[in-house]
Order: sequence, then C-alpha cells, then structure tokens
Amino acid sequence: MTEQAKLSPDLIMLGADKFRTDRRYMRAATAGAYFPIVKGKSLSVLYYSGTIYPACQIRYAVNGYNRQMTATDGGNGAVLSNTFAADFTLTRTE
Amino acid sequence: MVNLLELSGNRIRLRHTDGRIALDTDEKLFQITDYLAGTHTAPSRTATFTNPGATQTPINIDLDTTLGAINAHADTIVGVFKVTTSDTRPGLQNKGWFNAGGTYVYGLDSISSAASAGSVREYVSGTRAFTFFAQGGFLKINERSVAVSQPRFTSPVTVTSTWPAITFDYRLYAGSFV
Repeated sequence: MTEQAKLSPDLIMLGADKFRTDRRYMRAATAGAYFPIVKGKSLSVLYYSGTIYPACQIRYAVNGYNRQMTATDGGNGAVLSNTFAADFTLTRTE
Repeated sequence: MVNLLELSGNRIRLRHTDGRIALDTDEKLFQITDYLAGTHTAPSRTATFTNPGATQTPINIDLDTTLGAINAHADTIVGVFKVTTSDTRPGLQNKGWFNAGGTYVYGLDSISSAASAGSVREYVSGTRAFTFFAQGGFLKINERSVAVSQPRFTSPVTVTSTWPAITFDYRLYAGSFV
C-alpha cells in the first residue's frame, strides 16, 4: 500500500510523494525573486506611418529590463511614445 | 537541527533539512487548470508598393484568435510550441520547440531606400510576432504583423513583401498563481 503521508525529523511528505520537503516548488515570491514569468506579451510593436516610408518600432519590457528602438527611418522618423511593460509574476523556488 | 514544520498564526511553512522553504502558505503556488494541445495557422500577409503613383499598401495587423476554453481564473500560459512554414529563409522555423512564455518573434524585416536627399537608409520595416495568452476564460494567440514593401520608383512596377503562412503546433498549460 502506498504511503500517503510521512512526518519525520528529516522529511515531510504528503499525498503519496506529490509533495515532499526535499523538493522545490515554483511559487510567487514575496521577496528574493529569481525570475519573472510573463502572462502575455513581452514585446510591443507600434506601426509608424512615417513621413517618408512606413516602419515599425518595437519595445521589449519585462521586469524593468527594457529595450526600445530610439530612431526610425534612418533617424529621420519620429520616435513614438511607447510605455509598454509586460505583466508578470515574480517567482522563486529557493 | 531545522524544524521542518513551522506553524505561526494562520501561516504554515514546511522546510527541507537545509532550511530552505518548500511550502509557505503566505506565498502563491502555480496551479494548472487546463492543458491544451492543437494547431493554429496564421495566414500569409503581403504588403505591396505600386508605381506609378508610389502607392504603399502596408500591413498593420493586431489580431487575437481564440484557441479554446480554459478556466476563467487562468492568467498565465506556459508550455512549448513549434513552427512549420514554407519559408526557406535562414531562421529558427521548422527547427524544434520554443518556450511559449512571452512574445515569440518570428521575424524582423528591413528595407533600404534612397531618400529624397540621396542618402541610403536602412530601418526595420516589418515585424511578425505571436503571443499565447489567457483572457476571460479563453486561450488566445495574438498575431502582430507589420510589413512594408520595398519602394522602387524607376519604372511601372508592383513590388511585394510577404510574411508566409505559418502553423503552430502547441502544447500548453494554463493556470494561475493561487
């Protein structure tokens, strides 16, 4: 018969090894996060109709790491306002 | 010696013998509510430039497509997908599996053009990106496609720039941190 639960000085186990304190479980971090998990888009693409030719401007923004095009059309095009920031959950396993 | 079981008020913490926490009831755990597998094909998209008249017909598509029903509380998608296409240009298409989190950039395109001042400019003219996401009890995929055709002014001509059709084969978990 499968052992369903165990409480010993070096291990707590529940649900026939479904949960064990010697394993790691990914959880939303209240502090000391390791990395974010994005819920949807991590990249925003804006279309720029352009004064000379159309183009597009892209912005990647996850957890404060932002990369965005700063010029369009060889520097002649306007830089569009893009405040996109991905929605995410900070996680850790400890 | 580490106490593996810690009870304080309404909080329970379970630890490994090295002290690290395996479970903290004050922190959320990822709960998978649904598993979805299937295929989705995004059609070919073509931009054109026609002369005479110097008429640009670019594409600028931001399209959500529903792939299936999931738990209404699910807000996070994890898993894998692969892409197959007739596109023979160098790239990662037709080559293995990708992580489904965040936005997948299929391709960036650039064109160069002789501007009115006579200089040659090169810039990003096109982007094709896809994102799996959960919204209101449905698994969806967003297609963001922008394309512009290469202008040519020398003679009557129509020039096209095409993002080819691509097919996603996806294996995804939907869930949320609860």
